[in-house]
Amino acid sequence: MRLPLLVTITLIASATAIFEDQVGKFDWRKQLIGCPARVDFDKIGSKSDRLLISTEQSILSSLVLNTGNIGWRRIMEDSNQVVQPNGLTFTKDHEYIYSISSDGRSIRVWHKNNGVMARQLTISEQKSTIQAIHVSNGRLHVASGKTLMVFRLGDDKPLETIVAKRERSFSAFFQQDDHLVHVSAFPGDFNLEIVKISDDGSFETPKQVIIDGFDVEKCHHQSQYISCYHNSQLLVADVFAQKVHKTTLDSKLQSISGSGRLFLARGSQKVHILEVTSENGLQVRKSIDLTSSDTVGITENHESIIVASPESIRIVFVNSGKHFEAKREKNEQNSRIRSIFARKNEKDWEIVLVGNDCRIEFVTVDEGSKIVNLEWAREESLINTVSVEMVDLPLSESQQMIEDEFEEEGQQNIIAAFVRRIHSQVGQLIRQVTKNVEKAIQVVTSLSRDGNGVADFINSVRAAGQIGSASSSGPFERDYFNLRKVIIVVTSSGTVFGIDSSDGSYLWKLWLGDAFSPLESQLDQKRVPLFVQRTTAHYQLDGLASVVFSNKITQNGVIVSFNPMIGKVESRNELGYPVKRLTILPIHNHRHVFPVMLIGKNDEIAVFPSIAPEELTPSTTSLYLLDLQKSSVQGLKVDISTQKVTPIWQGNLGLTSDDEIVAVKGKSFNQKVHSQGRVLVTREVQYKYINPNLAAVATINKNTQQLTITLVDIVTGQVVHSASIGKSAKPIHLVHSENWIAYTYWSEKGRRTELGIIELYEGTEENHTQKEMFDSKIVQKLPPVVAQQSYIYAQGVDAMSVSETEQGLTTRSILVAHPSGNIHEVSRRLLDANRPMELTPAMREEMMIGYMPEIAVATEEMINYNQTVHRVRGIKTSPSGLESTSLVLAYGTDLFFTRLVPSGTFDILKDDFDHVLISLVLTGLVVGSYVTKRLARSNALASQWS
Amino acid sequence: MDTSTLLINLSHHIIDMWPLKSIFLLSSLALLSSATEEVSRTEQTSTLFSVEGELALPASRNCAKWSAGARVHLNHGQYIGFVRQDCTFRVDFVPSGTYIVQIENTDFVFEPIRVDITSKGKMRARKLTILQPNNVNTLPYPLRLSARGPARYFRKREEWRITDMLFSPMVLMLVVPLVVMLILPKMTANDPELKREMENMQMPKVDMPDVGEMMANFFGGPAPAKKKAVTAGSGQRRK
Repeated sequence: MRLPLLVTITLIASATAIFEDQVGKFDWRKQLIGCPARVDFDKIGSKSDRLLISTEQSILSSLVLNTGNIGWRRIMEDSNQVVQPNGLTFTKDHEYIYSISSDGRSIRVWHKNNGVMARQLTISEQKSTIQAIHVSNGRLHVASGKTLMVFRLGDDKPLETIVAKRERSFSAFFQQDDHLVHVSAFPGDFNLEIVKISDDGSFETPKQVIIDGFDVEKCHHQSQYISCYHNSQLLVADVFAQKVHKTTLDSKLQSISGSGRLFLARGSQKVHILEVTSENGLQVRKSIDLTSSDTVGITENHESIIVASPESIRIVFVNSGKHFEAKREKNEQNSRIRSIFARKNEKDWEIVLVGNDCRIEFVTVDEGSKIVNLEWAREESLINTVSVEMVDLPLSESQQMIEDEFEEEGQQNIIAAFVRRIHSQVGQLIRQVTKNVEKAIQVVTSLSRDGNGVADFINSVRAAGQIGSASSSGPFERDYFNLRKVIIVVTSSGTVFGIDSSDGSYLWKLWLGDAFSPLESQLDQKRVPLFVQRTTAHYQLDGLASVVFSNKITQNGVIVSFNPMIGKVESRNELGYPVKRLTILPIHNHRHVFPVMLIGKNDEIAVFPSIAPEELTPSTTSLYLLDLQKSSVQGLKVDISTQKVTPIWQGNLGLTSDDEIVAVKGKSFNQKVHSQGRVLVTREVQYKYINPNLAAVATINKNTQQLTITLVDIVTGQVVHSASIGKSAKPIHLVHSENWIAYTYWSEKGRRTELGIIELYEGTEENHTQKEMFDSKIVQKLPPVVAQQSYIYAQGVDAMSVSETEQGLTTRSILVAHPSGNIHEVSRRLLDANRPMELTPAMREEMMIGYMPEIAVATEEMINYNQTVHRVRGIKTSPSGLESTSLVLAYGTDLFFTRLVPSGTFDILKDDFDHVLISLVLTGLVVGSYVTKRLARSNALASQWS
Repeated sequence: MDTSTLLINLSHHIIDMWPLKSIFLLSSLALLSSATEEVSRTEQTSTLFSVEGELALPASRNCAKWSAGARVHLNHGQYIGFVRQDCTFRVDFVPSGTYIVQIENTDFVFEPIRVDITSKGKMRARKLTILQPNNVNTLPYPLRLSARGPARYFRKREEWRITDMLFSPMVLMLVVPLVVMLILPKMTANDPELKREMENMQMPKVDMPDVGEMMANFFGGPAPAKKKAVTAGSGQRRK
């Protein structure tokens, strides 16, 4: 019995995998490294230069300096502390990188050229964010938390260890010639401890000084100095020369930085460049006037100061009076620069600029020509993607003509209509002809370029056919199957991108401003909601999309509306209150815009754009919302016309104070369900319980480890179904679609991930009443019939989503992202609550699959094959113009886009369908039959004569 | 107290500190005699342990390069470790409990292993049987995971092969009658008796439309006058 089962499963499975030659044909991946916290220029061997970057996302990576491509990238464990990502503290020698990871508990030693880990050293079991690392004299010196250690390079055991009694608040190594000291401070009682490290690697007895108010926040350390500022006073302590220099500057200082002997003390109006010399002590060398959009940096050789603003880069020589300015190409959508990493080589300055929007830009500045050359740029804020929408491209010219033809219904004049039709059809014809001529020209040119064999001819015809379908070079308009879209990506760093789905290129970028701050959701997540208010279906009107975020300073809600095709901001409105909840209304105004409703803390309501009362229909005057509180759940009714929020029901859904709400999933109001029912083996129809007001709430009990999934009707507060699973734990993921809910949880009992499914039916024909629309207020005579099933799933789950197609006709697939970076496609045919335990012949005839406890994870079913996507936070699916095809974007550390065909491409020809061969065979047959006819005729004539 | 003054305070200490220890001690009562003490590295009763192991790749692959893309996951990423250049790995700071050890990489498929760590740090590795978690099938510790095979992500394209085409039922159905039609007349040609017998056999006359002829007529343009002759001729030839 198992064999046919396996065969069916493998048949289904094999239908989902792609062919090897399809790699990269309709998928792309963007690998990201995250927002750089530290950038080091580096030379690997004698060959190419690299950048070593550690980022806020605990990723250590190496970029090729010439191209900006990732040389290698290592993703560390997520850090618990936001301030100190793993891998941030690192040092390097000519071969290795030494980085502190595991929250300050271990050191990982990486090969600089390929990122392979060479060694792994343990510091202590104490987590700490106060870390310092230094390599010199063939020894590795490490300080983390209480511990101070010395390793001989290549050894796994430390030479010496000392452990302080308390946690440090500051820790740094200082080196001058061969002398090395470690300086640390302790919080609370202002101690500064100095430990000298002797030549044999042992620590000398530490000395302590009691000082009050050593403020780590206002200090900076470099080569052999600690510099601190307070108001307008600057203090520089030389650790080795045992000297303290102090000076008072003419303005209040905001930050201090520096390198070598130079210090950059920044005030609000200007930056002072100071230098410590043995003769004169601390002296101001220069003062540069600044605006607030300027950022100051210093080159590695301490000879020049870089002042970068969005418009220009100024380079000021420290040792001479020289300075010059080079203009940059200004882009309003790039934020101001956060940090500068620069070096000077023989010819020019090489500068890495990191923006507040996490954009890494590598520019070279040439002194002679005074030109800023942008070598490459990376948009790293995409690593913080929080919201994604896919928007159709505008209608093509021919589609517009068809629309035109039917648009003006008011005119009843037959002749006018006829003329319009002829006109549009002539237009279509001309368009078609020009397109074909273009294609023919293309073929001819490629033919004359490549050669003139038959194989060349066939290849060029094929290539021309593919150019037409890929359309990435074509005009910016909708393709025939609507497969190419604009992906709008919103990040929690305050950027919005428009990405071309055909190749992943950036179409436009929007910077939401320095005051951007994401909204906090009820489930403690950062979110920046994105709404598509008007699609491009109305070709006379541009599309409209909006993002909502909060102002960092005032905490008030801000809504920015923009054109999703070009990224042009249409309006920017700031509310007078913080946004508590928000939703898009399911009705549109006369300009076809679906308004966004923002509700404040005290139930203030604002609607963007406003909607007139006469545009509301009786069925859409009110809106129901689910409101989560600490221990209870509330149903709210929002009256759109009077703008009032009234609670209509309140309850705890059977939850106790130990229950923690982990996930809430409603349904989008535009989801399409194609078939109302499901045909059973008995030839009866089981009708689906499709309630658009149903929300699924997953809670987990801290004491009993019980996972409860409650299905509640938002309008009435009625609990439709509730199911509990004992001994389960996070991570819990939930997918709610049509009449079913799929969920994953970690089963403590079985020590495995389990995948559950709940399906709701209204029962068979007798008690089903056909109705136009579901109404929660009509009391159901019988509760819905619930089918549920659980399956074992051998992998962990990072994110879960479900495929969407245009009509909802195609069998859906559930997409599961694994921590290992794969995205697994599970067909709903396998994840089915109605898989029978015993398979009868009648069921087999219906192609049903019998119940098996495990859902197998095969590498063939990975939609991203070997293009792994790590730390996936979400998977966005969107329908295309083809019913069989769903577009998928998975976002996390990487972005991955592909087309998904859950049931195979049943509505178009296979992509390996050989048009050329078929037409050649056909013409050959026609020609052959004509020739044989001739031959036969002459043959017949000859035989008559003989 | 104002910070600036305090910082100056610090500066005095720094100035004093190095040259003359004795003066330093005298000058400030605040100076403590060696506040930190050296703690010998006697192992405390640690509650965190390390999971160690080794990977075996197929002989053709070198670990030094491959491990750049490999990581070790405990319980699906709850704890992670990296594979060293010599194909060994160690995942540190793991509390006692039960863990599933998996190898993340894109090239090979590794069998996951279950590891139990007791509260005293005793390790036990066993084969992971996800359907029956209580089944014990002990494996040696430190772990040794070997690649089960290369990870296959793609379907094979159906290749066009001559044997496939020849043995397909459609072709066989076409070829066999053709052979019979072509070879039988040749065989009968040598045997006049058989030939006569064949001729006597009444072939059922089926009025089959001749597709080739139809096409030829269609594309050959108007040749109605000769049509009959042609068909007659072809009819003769068939005999």
